[in-house]
Amino acid sequence: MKKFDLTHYSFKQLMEFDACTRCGECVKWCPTYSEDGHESLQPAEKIRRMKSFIASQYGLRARLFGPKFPADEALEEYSRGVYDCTLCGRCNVVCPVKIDTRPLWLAMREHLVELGHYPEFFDTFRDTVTTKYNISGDNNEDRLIWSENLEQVPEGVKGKEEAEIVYYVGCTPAFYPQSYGIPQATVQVMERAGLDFTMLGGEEWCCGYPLILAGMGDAVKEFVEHNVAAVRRTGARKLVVGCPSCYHTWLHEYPKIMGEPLGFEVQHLSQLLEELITGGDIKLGKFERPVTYHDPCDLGRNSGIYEAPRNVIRSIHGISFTEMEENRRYSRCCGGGGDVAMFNEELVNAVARRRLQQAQATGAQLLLSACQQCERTLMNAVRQEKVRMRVLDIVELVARVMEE
Amino acid sequence: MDIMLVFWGFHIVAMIVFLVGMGLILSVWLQGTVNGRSDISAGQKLAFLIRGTLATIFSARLGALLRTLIWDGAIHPTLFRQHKLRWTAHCCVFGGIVLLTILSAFSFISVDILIPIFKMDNIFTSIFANKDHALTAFLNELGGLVVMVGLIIVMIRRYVIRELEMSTRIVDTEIIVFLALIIVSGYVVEICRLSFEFEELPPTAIYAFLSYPVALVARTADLPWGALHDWLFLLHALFSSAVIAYIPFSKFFHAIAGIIIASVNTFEREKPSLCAKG
Repeated sequence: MKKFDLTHYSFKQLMEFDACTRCGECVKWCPTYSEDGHESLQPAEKIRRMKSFIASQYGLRARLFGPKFPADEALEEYSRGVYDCTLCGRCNVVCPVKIDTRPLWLAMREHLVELGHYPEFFDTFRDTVTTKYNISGDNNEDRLIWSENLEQVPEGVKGKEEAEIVYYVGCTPAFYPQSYGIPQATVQVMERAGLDFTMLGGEEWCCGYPLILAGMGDAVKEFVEHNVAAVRRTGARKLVVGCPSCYHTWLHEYPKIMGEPLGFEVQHLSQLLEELITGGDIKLGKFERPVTYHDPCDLGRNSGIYEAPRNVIRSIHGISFTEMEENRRYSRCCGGGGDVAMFNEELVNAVARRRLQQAQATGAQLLLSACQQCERTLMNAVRQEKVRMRVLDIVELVARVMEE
Repeated sequence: MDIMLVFWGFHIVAMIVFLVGMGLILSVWLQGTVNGRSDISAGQKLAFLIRGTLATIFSARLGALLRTLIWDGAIHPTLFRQHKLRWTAHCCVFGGIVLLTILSAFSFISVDILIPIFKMDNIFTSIFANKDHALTAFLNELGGLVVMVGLIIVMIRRYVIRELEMSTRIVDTEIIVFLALIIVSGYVVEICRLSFEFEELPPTAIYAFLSYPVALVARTADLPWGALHDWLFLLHALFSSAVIAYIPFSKFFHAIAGIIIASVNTFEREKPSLCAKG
């Protein structure tokens, strides 16, 4: 009789299934459940369902009378809950017994891939990423297409063989025109600060994070090895990453997958900006408008960077900065995470609308973030809701107010 | 019929069921990876975990481990920040049960081990072997009361104001019903005992501040209090043993797994990160 392969989970994660008290605290804070309302999306419910699947195969009754494999319908419904999660990790913050939920949801996705119960879209997606080395399916050699609009293309963009810093752009800003402004602003700032930087161009491959999120982490090793080797070849001492998801992957996943330290520092763009402003390498002018800031989940909750972007914003003269009702560890997800946007746009839009309402409540005219995916998702919500508010990445604002 | 013989016979079976249940749970956990490895046997995984645990216990981090065990595992500051009423309910139920369990354990140690076997007659045994000692009487009543207060808050939140956004399932209800039955039956047993022994009770028995006033009234009823006490005590004890046996198969188990996970996850987060600088 076929039984679940529990090696998708660690000893601790299997213990976490038993630690859940079903207190419901996570349910109150789940951004997707609050919009969709389907029980399978509740974090505690996902745990309950998996626990019952395990019990039906390994529990006392199963040992006495034989195991019972879950029905396909039950697995499908469970899969829906697991894949419609944006992996924002807010459930972990509010869990009284501190269940490390995000890695648990990822392990569930890996398990569902093995069981064959995952959104069909991911098969095509996996083919695209593993053959084109980016998420859009474009020719990977076109990774610097965004630089064609620049008045002056910095030396670093052309690709120096050796440099102090490597700027890793990420797939979304490289291939989606809506986000071109982020790498354009970044290289302008780096050039103005006089940094010795380079870029990998076509040698930059997807960081692999979208595959990890899909539960297909087994395909990522090749990407990790390629990217690390490409950065090491430049002799860089620092890798600057603009995308919080790529940053999280480089910082936390890459050393684990490589089984060794990377040998260079990994820094998020917001940290570099803070460093440049504090060090006086760039001077910022005035910007006298009310703004608010949205914490990207992969930068804040999942990587612990809350203050760097805020310090950058506060260093702009005349700016009026107001926090949203839910911020920092309790920040509400924009809906753009967890690969959900790839197959459930309606849910993503609903989550984004809610976050936009919180931004509107601050009276801000400009909604800032430090993530291209959050920017894109919130920008779509702004358009759909016809709200008079602009959405920018902090680096775009810094580039605009940067003095000569 | 020797009531204690019946109790111990049942209790030993219950403990065996409890241990079998714990073994089943451990066998499931051991199917997971340990330190990222799935290619080693369950025995090797267990040995690895035991070594890791012992290494932490006999290290400079023992203090931090104990702190997380008590602070994060039992006191739950996260819950306190999120929801004061829920935290109060949890503290009442958990704290009350811990108190009653400690009192029962001390009483057992005094009555069945220290006094008969080691002939010890000291302040510890005199307190815990005597149900009418002011401290024992008071703490037992207090433990039961706080558990009931906690359960009432839980019931109001779950069934009356329906504050939770989750559907209530049998697993949620059974834990409340079983705990309430244990506590209520405990009070009834105590009232029967006090009614039966009322004339001989020492003045300190009044510290049983809930049972004593009830017994004061109840004893006037023409009931066989002694026999009632014996049978109800047996039922109370058997039911409590059955609930202990049921722990590994029910939501009660969160009390064990939850404490471990809350401590381990906090403890791990407090470790200096190995990959912070790549």
